[in-house]
Amino acid sequence: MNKGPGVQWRRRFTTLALTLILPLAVVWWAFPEGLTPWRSAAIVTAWAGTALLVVNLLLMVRQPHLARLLGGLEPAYLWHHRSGMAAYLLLLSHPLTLAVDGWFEAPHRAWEILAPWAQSWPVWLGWLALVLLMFGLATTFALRLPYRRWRGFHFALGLGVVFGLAHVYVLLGEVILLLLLIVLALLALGWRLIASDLGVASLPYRVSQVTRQVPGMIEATLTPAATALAVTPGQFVLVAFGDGTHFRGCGEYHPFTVSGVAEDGTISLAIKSLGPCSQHIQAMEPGVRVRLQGPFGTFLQESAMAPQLWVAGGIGITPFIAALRAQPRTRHTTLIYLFRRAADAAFLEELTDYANNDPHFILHAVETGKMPADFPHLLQQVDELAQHEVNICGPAPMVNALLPHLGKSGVDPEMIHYERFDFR
Amino acid sequence: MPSSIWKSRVGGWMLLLVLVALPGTGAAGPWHAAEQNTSGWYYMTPDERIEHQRRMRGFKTYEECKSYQTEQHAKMARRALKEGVVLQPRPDSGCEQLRQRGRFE
Repeated sequence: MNKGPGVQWRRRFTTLALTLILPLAVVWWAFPEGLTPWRSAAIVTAWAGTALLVVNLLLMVRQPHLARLLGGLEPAYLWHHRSGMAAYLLLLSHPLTLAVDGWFEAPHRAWEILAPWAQSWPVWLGWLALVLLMFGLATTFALRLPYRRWRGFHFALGLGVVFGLAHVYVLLGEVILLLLLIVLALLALGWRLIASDLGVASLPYRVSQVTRQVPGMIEATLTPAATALAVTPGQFVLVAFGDGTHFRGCGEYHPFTVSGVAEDGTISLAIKSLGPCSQHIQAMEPGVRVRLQGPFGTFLQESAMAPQLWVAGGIGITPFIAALRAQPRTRHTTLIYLFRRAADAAFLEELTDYANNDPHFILHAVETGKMPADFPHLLQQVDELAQHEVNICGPAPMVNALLPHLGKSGVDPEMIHYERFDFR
Repeated sequence: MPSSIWKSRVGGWMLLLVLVALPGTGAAGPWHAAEQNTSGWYYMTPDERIEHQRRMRGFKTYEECKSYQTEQHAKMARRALKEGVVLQPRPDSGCEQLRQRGRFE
């Protein structure tokens, strides 16, 4: 979730500080003495890259408390990507700077340092790590790669980190700081693989109801089979749909914003067909076993006492319908709901009922067709817009188009919050 | 302020303190083999230098280190002699440096 500039800056600073503190501490500890400048540079890049790889693993841990500390999963994943790139570049420069160091001694030395056949297995471990990291990172930029294949290639990165740490361990032996880095890396990898991907840290639920909202979208109600997650409207959970009597789930964890939270622990999820797994889920039936992790996110959780303007685009309606279902509005709330066709607008009837019965709630339902929304016109319909707190949930182009108009209308940037679920 | 946010902030600061204190837990970073502490450094291939450094770091006792070093010095002396150079091992050798760092039992 993105908050106003002040909050955003503080959260970025926290995540940046947590990302940099370990590499800086490790480089400070390992800084070499009495070596040539290029060899010193090679050692510094190796340690900084190794520590950044460990940070990179810590940033991929899907744990609600850690995610809250990092300002949410979204910034954590952003820094996971950035730290991975930085680590790869640093580690790539490690053999190159060593080769430069060799060049100053004699040109053939540089080649001896880079040629794999002139090395032995401790160094091959390092080269193997670099190749795996390069391959794994290259696939992270392939946005159109199907999720399953992308995830499979991502394992190459984890393997690259393991080989990289093995390379350092073989060369250094039992150095306490290296052992600490290895333990941190194994804990992060283990947590992610066992607790998150295999679902050991998840809670069991069962699908108790499935309703067809609009074409290409269902709403599933999930009842806890044991302890219920403490979810609030605006948050999202990671969900893996398992098997039922006539249904075989994909078993992969995908993020879904809750569309309803009941006091008895049942939660509802609006699931739109966006990929192979969510398309398959459209055929789901009651009785299907489900595993849930979370909750994550703070959208709609830190609201000011100001009147509210909510702007939803398409499936971005889910956090707002969850808030409306949870309790009647106590503050004046205007919802601008944008959709391409009325036939695709989920919860439209229910929202209209709320608008008719709740004096604090005003609905502007707008069918945009294929055209972008006319935000200047829409925002004119909100009285005293500058006094409002604005919450936006929808596709990135919609959010990006709206933000400048809110700025021109005098809305305090600190009072603008938006949610985008574009991580994998 | 919600207690969960407060706890997260306290947790964050504690993590920062631990990480900042980390470098103080070791006497120093890893020892590095280099020209200054390795007799015959220029007569070793890059791979031999890596292996030499790896072995030196792995010794548990000063005696093991000196035993290997004597053998290594003799090997390098033979290589140097082929090129008409007589090597003079320096007193501040790798084993001495590692002993000063308290790396031996």
